[in-house]
Amino acid sequence: MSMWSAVRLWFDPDEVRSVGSTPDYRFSLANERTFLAWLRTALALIGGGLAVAQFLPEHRLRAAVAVSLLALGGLVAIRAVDHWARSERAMRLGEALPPSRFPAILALVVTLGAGALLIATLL
Amino acid sequence: MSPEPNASEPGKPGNGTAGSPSGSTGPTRPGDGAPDNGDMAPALSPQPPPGAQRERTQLSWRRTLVSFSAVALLLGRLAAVHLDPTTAALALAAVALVWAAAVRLIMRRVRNVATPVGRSLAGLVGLILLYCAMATLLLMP
Repeated sequence: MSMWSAVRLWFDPDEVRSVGSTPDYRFSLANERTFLAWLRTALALIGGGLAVAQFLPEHRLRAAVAVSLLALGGLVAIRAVDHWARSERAMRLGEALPPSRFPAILALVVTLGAGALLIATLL
Repeated sequence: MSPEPNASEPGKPGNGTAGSPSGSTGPTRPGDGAPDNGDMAPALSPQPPPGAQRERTQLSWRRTLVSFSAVALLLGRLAAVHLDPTTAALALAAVALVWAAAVRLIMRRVRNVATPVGRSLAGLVGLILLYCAMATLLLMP
């Protein structure tokens, strides 16, 4: 699937619903809840960035950390809707759910970022 | 559109210990109107229990609204603290407008959770990205 057709799926749910057959509504709702959980993860990252911007006024990396967290939160939100659309499509077509490295990458980024910030603060 | 189980609200949380609803004339009246089958209905029903899918999804949307509101408050504080009064008023109005749009979208989805999602998912992501852009603009200068 090309990138633009994937982007179209985010905004055009009729196209998502045009393929395959409607799955059990429990699976659709579970997919929706997974999307919402990712959205709350994104909102937590954004809130963390806003908190760093306001409550660490003296830190020399304040703006960099805040904007990085904001960008990371935005990325998580975009990826959440993309993963929702691809999972919905896979369920309608009876295919395996799309594999994703994103959770592992996000965990690594958060861990390395926290470690780097700790070192930069202590040195 | 989606199949609904016969028992309209199975496994409603919080009413499990409501005791016998008949004849209790105490100060609190359990079950105002809605029929409440709080006693082991899922275990006895022939079809598999629906698992309160609708309620869980609605609560998930409401939790998301709480997170969104927290971010809105933090962003409003950032605007109020870091800008001059006129610009701050404009920025606060923008923050409130986006928040109102999110409340409208989420509450509509909570009411219509049994219908297809439509554009509400992408719409909510768009509102979150708006907040990201506004916060980045505030931090730029």
